[in-house]
Parts: sequence; C-alpha cells; structure tokens
Amino acid sequence: MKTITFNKTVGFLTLQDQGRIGYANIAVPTSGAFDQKSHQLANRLIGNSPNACVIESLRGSFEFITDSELVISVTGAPASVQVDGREHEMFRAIFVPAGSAVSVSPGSLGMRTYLAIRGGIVGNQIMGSSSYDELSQIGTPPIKPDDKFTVDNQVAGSITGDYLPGSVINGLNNVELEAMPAPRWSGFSNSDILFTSTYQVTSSVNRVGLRLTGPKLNWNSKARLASEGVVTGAIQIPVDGMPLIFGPDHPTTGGYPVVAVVSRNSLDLLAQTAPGTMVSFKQAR
Amino acid sequence: MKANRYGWHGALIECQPDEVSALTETCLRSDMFTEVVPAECTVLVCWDKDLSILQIENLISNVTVKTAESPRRLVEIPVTYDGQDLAEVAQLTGLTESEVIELHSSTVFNAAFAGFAPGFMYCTGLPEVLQLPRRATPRTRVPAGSLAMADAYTAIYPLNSPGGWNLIGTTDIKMFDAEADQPSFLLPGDRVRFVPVAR
Repeated sequence: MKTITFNKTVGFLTLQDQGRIGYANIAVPTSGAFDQKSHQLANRLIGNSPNACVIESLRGSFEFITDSELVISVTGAPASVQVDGREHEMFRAIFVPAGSAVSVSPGSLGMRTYLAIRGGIVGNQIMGSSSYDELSQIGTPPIKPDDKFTVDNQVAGSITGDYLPGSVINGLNNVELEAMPAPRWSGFSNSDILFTSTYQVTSSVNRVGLRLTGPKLNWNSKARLASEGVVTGAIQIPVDGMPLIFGPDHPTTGGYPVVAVVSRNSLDLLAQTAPGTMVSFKQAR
Repeated sequence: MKANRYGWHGALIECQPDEVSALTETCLRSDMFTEVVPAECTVLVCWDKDLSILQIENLISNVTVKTAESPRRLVEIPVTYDGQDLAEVAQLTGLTESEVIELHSSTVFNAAFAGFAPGFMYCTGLPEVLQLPRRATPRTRVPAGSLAMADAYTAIYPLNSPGGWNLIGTTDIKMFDAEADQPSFLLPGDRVRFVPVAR
C-alpha cells in the first residue's frame, strides 16, 4: 500500500472531496472542497474519479515523503511545488519517484491550493465523505506533522495531463460575483444596494463563510423570522446588516434572512478571495 | 404552499407548520432532491440536475396535511431530570420542580427541525409556562446528552458544545453517532416524549 508521511505542516491543511450529501436535515453541512473547480481539475489532470479526496491547503506549507512512486497534480492558488528540491509546474501531472519529498509553499496570490494524488487519498470516511467539516468538526482532522495517509484506488481513467492555463488564479481585485435574489429579497427595504455598491471582505473568513463590510442592508420587520434551511452561497444578513456569504461548512438552518445567493462559479472565486478584497454583485439573468 | 426559487439548485417551499411533515415526506419520496430540509414553516429542497420550479409546483400541488402516508413515529427518550438549572427554572416559572418535570414529561413534542450542531433537533410544543429566555451568559461547555429548554423549544445537546439554554436533565442515549447507519437518533417530523427515569 502506498503511504505518504508528513514531516512538515504549517497552516490549515485538510482533506476534501465532494462532501456529505443528504444530511442537511440532521444539521450536517455538505462540506467538501471550497474551490470545486480546482478540486475537479486536480483530479482530472491525473485521471482520478471526480470525488477523489485531495489536500486543501489554506496558504499553508507542507512536505511529505512517499514510500512509493506517485503521480500528483497541484491546482488552485499559485504555489511553489518541489519534488526533492526541484521546482515543478502546477496544472500538470507530476511524476514523483519512490522515496521523494514533495513540498508545497504558498505564493502571494489566492487562498487555497489543492494537491491530488493519482488514486486519491484515504481519509477518515464519515457519512460518505472524508472532508473535514470546520463547523461540526467531523471527518478527517486537519493534517499535522507525522500524519500518515495511504493512497486509494479511485481512478477513473488514464492520466490526461491537460494543461489549462485559464485556470491560473490571477490577482483578485474588485471581484465580481454573480448573485440571484433569494426568497426574502423583498423583505429588505433597500435590497437593491447589494447590486449597486461595493463591499470589502473582512478578516472573518473561513470554510463556514465570509463576512463582508459595506452599506448596511435593512430588514423591514422587527418580527423574528422562523428558522429555515439555507444553501451554500446564501448571503445572510445578521442583525448588524452586513452580508455573510455561506461557504461549504455553513450551518444548515438559520434564523436571519437571506437576501440573495451567489453562483457556484462565484463560490469558487470566493474560495480564493483574500481579506481586504473589494467585491461587487451582478444580478444573474 | 408556494415554491420560491432559492439559488441555481434550490427552492424554499413555504407552507403551514402542520403541513411540513406531509410536504417533507412527499419531497423525500419523489427522489428528485439531494437535500430535503424541513423547518418551522418551510421545506428547503436542493437538486443537482436540471429541475424547474414548475416541476416542484406539480409535485407539491396535491400535498395536504392528510396526504402523509406513514404515521409519524413516537420516540421515547429516557431522561433524568437532574439539570443544573432545574431549580432556577422552577423559580422563574413559579412552579415546583416536580411540576416542571410533570409538565415537561407529559408533553408530546414535535421534532420540528435540526440546526446548531449535527443531530441537534429543535422540538416544538413546549407549554407556554415553561417558555423562558436563554441564559444571559451562555456556558462554554454543555455536556452531550443534556436536556435543555429555551424560548419555545426543547432539545438535547447531541455533542459537547457551548450552549445558552436552560439545562433541566440528562439522557444516556447517544443522540448523534457519525458511525451509525442512521447518525441522528431523532429525525425531523418525529413525535418525542421524554420519560423520567431515576438515576
């Protein structure tokens, strides 16, 4: 069995797949890779099943040693990828000889880098997924030094080694997000300002959600809104009137009104959006 | 009943509180959805293929309170009424501790919806006299299995977690077990009764 052993980990490193589907009714978030596009691309480059488990690194640095030869790929936020000290390109299939050290360290742009291993990584499978859920703290615990993982056999086809330059994440300033009004849209006295203003991402960002700051949205009613189910990408407006956009580990129900929902593509962008970035919302047609 | 588009792959169906169970059952039975999330007077449905609001409207057009096929199960949960806040609850409600216990344990609750933590089920039906606000200062740690009340709800904390509800008892039942086939002991729509047991 192929095994990798981490000898260095800095930052928040988790295993992520497509998440836990079908448990929102018992308050278990979907979880799964935040930047789904990068997760899928990492798997596709090396012929993995789309659900294969990969490493999601939140601007972290890590190094692991492999006891067997591997094929890996790295996508998402730009990072330096080295095999035994030699630099390799992202967005390609990379051959790693047995006994080598693979190290990844973050660049200056983006937030989340993904590393996939051909076959996928075996995590702690809980309710159909190995993903670490930051809200419920279930799944595979965040990776720390001396952790060992074995390689799975979730292979879907041959190594394509596609190179998709368009996937490279550039500097993200003034990110435009696509959003659709949600059922409580008309309960706000000034919902239109969402589409005419600019907001800034605060430092309160994690897999549960991103808090923004900017013009305040006003909920019309003093009455309590009955708790209701919420979706990933929902823009919830708590009492302070500032938008909170839900990521993959968001609570499954909430009592604050949701003004709009951002698209899947926009969520992939948000997964790479650093605190301080300005964002605006464009109404989806 | 009204289905409102909620993002690209979801709809929030608004209904009356007593229609939630029948609507949830219809949605689950249709096999059209990846998630069906009942709440107090809504059911959220999510899907991963192409579905239109019209298809959802067709599906729910015949749902009434009476269309529920399976009778809702009654789940009995053995509890010891030994919570840290029982004396204070008695004082605030003007009841004796045994009257609080008698009232709480003779009520059949409705597991209305989940939230806060995996397996945490908000149960409605709490008699008005027992409805108290949350504690001014939440506890940083409430042990798993604590039976609690706040506002119009009663619930059992499924995992160790912070919590601001009034603690009135404890149960040995494992309310959430991620390794189990059915991870949550209670499901939305269950009828729930708490059965007093001596410690």
